Amino acid sequence: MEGNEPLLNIESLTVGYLTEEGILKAVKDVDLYVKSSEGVCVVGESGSGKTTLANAILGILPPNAIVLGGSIVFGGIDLLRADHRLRASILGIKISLVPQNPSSSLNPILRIEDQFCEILKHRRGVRDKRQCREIVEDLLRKTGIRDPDRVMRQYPHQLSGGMKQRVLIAMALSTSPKLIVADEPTSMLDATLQAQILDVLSDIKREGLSILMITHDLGVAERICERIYIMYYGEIMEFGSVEKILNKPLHPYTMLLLEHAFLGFKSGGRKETGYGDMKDLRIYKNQNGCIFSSRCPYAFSRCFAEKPKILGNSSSGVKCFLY
Amino acid sequence: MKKTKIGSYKIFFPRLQRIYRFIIEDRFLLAFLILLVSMIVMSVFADLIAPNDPYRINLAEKLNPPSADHIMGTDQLGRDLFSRIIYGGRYTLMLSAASIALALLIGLVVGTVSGYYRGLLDLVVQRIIDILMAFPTIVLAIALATFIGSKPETLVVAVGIAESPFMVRVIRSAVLGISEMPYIEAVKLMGYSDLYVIVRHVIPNIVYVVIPQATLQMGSAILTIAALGFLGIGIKPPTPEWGSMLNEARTYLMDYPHLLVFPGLMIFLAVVSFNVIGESLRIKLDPKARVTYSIVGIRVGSIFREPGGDRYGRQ
Repeated sequence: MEGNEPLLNIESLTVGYLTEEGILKAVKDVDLYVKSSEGVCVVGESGSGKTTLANAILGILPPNAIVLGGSIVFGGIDLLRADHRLRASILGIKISLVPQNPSSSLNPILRIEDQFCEILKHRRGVRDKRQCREIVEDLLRKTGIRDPDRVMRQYPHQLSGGMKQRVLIAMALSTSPKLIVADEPTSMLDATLQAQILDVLSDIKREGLSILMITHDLGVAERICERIYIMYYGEIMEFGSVEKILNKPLHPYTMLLLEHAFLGFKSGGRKETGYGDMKDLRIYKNQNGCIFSSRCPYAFSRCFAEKPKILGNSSSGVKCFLY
Repeated sequence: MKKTKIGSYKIFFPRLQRIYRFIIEDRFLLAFLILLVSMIVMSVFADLIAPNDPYRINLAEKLNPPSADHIMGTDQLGRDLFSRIIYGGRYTLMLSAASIALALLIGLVVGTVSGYYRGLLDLVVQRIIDILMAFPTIVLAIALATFIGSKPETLVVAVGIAESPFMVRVIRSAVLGISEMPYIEAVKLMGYSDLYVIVRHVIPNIVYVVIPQATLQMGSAILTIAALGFLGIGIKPPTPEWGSMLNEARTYLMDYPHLLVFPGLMIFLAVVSFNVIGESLRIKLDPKARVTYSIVGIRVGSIFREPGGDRYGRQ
């Protein structure tokens, strides 16, 4: 790992959901690392376990989810095994979250400044209202809000979606974190706003923060990240640098994603590619062999019988029998 | 037409202007609001407004029809009916308000706890509420009132408990929805106490459900208080209370209908006012309601005017 220890290191993490049909594994044997001041993207379709991964990192999994194995090490501390107090001093402080849905993540009946002060009071012990206001003003300006004074006094419904997302990014920054986990921060916004929010995020990154971005959009990934992880049914199919993934994809699934991205763009909508659709997780519960084999155009007999392992080194790898 | 007038409000009190427009746009609501306010003022300042002592018996003038001296006439003991109606408002309205306040308290405590913590607690509490709801409000109130007595205070408790299941249900369902919102989860995760989260974040978010519900239930509480009075379980004569006045008047129904008409009319108007206002509030505070309500062609309530749309919500 080129000498420096990764800031966040996830090893063979497995997370399952308790359901009526038994345990469904939404994240399977995921290895992932984020170095400091690095942007890493996890890309995958809906239902591929991206959000579960993000929630597992932040320790906010829903009650019916259980971590079945693996470790999440942040700054030398294993978050899954650390005691409550130690975890509380990291989660939400050193690692903070930018949520997916900006409109339901702010309390509609509190002014922006009041919501901020609540965080600051609790996280940083800032009790003085004026001091708090100064900090908030700074943070809001950092996220590209031109008139923080006005925004601070407004209620969430008076702000646009993009503004709310900026406010939430500012909130994520308010605890001066080392790592920001952004769970599809732009999926609720239109294209122009997306670009603006991504600019804000890359500015943040330039200041030395690490970003772990969850997205389904390879274009978004390209703008923010140095490395990309491709996730499918809870498994990492391929990972590597942005250039490598986008220019020389190795895994058939990555090719599919890239193809979809451009096809979708040209035809202005969904287009059949002959790969078939993503099925319900339950169907694949007991499947042997490669998880992607049912949709893969290059699949051969071995793909249906055996599970592939990740091939490659720490900077790039692919989980496929083709290589 | 009244644009200029509203404009002046707009600059200094945007919220006041909203409330003003809210009321002024709905003439039906306005009428009942005025009626209700005058009823409340009348009851509060009964000492100043009532022309006579409501308890003074004057057998020489008993059972007089409405006249210049006694605008609603006199009852079987020659007491001035108008004064008794005014004082009666004190009992009927105040007791109803107090019992709704109690129901609201029960609703807020039980409803938020049940909706916020869920699980087994919620299950048990809701089954108890199911049992309470199985009885009609009035039957439950009668049972409780006979059990704990019919002093004004115990009456409030009886009606308050009888009214509370509906309040609990409404508040619980609102809390269920709110406490799943990411912003509530976030505050919880920060490590704030449950009490803090409930008081500061959950309850303020359900106010818009609670206010209309309380107003609507005021109508029901008035009916229950009056019914208890009428059945002789509630406030007892000679204390003037609209329901017990109806009971006293029952004997003279055929010969002196004015004794029955006036208290009945007051109960009717109070209940209708609360229902109209409650319904209006419910529609206007609910962002999803885009319907105009009307009863036999009279508009009872309409949604708050959307920017660019007309008062019926059409764009």
